[in-house]
Amino acid sequence: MKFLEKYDFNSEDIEEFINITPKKMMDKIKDNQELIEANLSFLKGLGIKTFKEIFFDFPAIFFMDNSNFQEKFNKYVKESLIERLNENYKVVEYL
Amino acid sequence: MKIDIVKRVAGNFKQRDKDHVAEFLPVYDLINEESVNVLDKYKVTLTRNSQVDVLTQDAKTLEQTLSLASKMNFLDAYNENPRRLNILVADVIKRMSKCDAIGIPYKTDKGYANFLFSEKLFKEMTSSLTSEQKKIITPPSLDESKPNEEQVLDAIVTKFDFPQDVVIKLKNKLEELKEQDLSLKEKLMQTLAIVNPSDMEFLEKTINSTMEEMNIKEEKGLVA
Repeated sequence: MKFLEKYDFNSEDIEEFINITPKKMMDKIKDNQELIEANLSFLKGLGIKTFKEIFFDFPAIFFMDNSNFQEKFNKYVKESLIERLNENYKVVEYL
Repeated sequence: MKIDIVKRVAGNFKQRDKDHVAEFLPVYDLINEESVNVLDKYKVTLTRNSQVDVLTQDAKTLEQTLSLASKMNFLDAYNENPRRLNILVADVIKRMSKCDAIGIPYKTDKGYANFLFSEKLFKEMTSSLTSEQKKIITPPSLDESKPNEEQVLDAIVTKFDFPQDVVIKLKNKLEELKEQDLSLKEKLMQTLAIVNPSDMEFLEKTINSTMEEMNIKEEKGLVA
């Protein structure tokens, strides 16, 4: 999970993530690291401040194919999307 | 992908959650069907796709967690937020004990506090305690006269409140293993396998967590 450091996760964040994530999910993340990173980069690049919280609580969506992942967010007006997710990141589950 | 498992798990979700199942299919693919049975047994209900990852856990681990929660009357915590099942139950119990020791409430009419299920939040909560309170919840210094493995075993036995006959069996087993060239963790794994022979992952996590709490490092073989 050291790759998460590239996305501003500190060691405490990473340890917390490992503690809350089932082993099979962790293994899948490791097996799909490139995809996970592509999706994390995209989300961070959008300017969404809560991208770490989104990854913590909704790691499953990061297994989406990168183009579908981008489409999930790009269908909204960027400014209002950012505002909405920064205010309440949990709505990401229903975008 | 087993369509039946998706229907079984998400069948009673609200429509807006059903509409998003496709995004979470990679996780549905990892589900242990036995784990679904365990949640049904304890009437823990999933309501969202984002909770489905708890079903990727080993069924025995879920059974242990829910069985303990049921005996200790905090099963409700897992219906409040089923993803809490991903947290090692030994750590949850340890935090509850610390809160009880210093009179910090962790259950209100709004439910169970999130800090019970997060080391990060628990540390934040305890950072505002008085020094006297911190002293109470800090693990005692190691007893230099007692081998580390015995101290770790004592701590685990206390945490899970094993009956006395089981405690005796565990101590006898550890005694048998004392002279063998095994690491501290190996001895504890073999000892605790008496009470839980099938879920080695759960045993390992419990041992690691207890050793970390007591600041005991792994050692290999016999001490020279």
